[in-house]
Amino acid sequence: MNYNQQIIDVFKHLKTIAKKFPARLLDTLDCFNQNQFDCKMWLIDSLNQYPYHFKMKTKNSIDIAILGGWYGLMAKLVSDNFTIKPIRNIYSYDFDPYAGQVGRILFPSIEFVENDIKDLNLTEKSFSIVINTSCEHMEQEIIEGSIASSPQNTLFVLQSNNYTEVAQHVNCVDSLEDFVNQYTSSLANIRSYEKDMGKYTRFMILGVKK
Amino acid sequence: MISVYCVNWGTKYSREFTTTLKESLQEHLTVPHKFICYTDNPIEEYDVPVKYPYLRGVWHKLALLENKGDSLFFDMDIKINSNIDFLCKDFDKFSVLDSTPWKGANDPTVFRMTQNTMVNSSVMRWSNHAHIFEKFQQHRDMYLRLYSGIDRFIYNEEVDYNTIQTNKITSWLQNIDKSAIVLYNGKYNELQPANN
Repeated sequence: MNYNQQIIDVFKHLKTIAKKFPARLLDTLDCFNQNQFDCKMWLIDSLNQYPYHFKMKTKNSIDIAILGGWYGLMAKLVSDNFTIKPIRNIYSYDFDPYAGQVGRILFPSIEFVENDIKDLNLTEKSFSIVINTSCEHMEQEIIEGSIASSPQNTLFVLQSNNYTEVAQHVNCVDSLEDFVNQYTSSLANIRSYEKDMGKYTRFMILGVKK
Repeated sequence: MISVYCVNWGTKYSREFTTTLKESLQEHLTVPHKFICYTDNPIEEYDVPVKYPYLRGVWHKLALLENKGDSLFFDMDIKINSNIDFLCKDFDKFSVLDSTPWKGANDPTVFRMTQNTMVNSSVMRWSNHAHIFEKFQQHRDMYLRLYSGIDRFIYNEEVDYNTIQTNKITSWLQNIDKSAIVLYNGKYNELQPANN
């Protein structure tokens, strides 16, 4: 491995987390595993190729919301790699009070918001894109509530999987078709994707709020 | 009449574990009690289907706290050797076991980083403590991510618990096998680790 300033910085941040939030160090390392990175980059590659950016055409820069953003890796990767429009603000929402405290050490440029998604009203926020890569972790009514509370033409990017063996996964889907069917009434222009992860399959849809 | 609960979920423990526990209680608990087994495979009249099918393994134990009234819980992997009426008091507090006697000293840094625990829920006692499960349900996804079991949740999340003060409950890890209750905690993990 070639050491550079970025790697030195990462170790510095992890040392800070170990000192300030030792109980969250292992969880922080978990959020950087290969699957997490691969699935998030897959999302951004697909997002950059999505053709229906109706709302974004009217703006010079856009706001993006990440729901269930954990320590901010998704927000950081989108911030660095989204190419369609300049990003004005990117918000990472999570109900975990430590997500922001740890996340700000790792990614100071990201805006972390402690908020439960089920209490989140996206109506006034005017996000152009809402990303939720944790659908398998949430009850379906919470996901549908986030779509219902968003303005028309908001672009939603959702990921789920069929990995039922994990204790946290309370809302898995069996297939890509099942995943799409959950959103045909609320989203238009749906594009759907799946990715073989070995032990399970990850599903993704992009669609515009009707 | 007190309620005595157990949980038999998944394939880690056969039906025989449940019947052995029930028979042991009949023999060694003279206080009037009703035996109830929460399970994903209800067969007997004392079986009750698990209320939250999306939960796995030990987390069903925590859901038992929704049940009100003087209650005891026992894990499947215990052996009752003699009278356990001494447990039937102080139901007003949520009580678990102190695992210090068999855990010994821990490196404090590793202990904190791994969110380890010094309590053990192989035996639990409560009466009106549904708020503990409600707390878990409030941020269930985070707790399931952070903790490998309910002992760690109870110890690390400021749950208001007491420890049962007795030398009549020991662990096989202490090489004591004649106490009133012996825990075989961890002994069966290698059989079906996925169901822990």
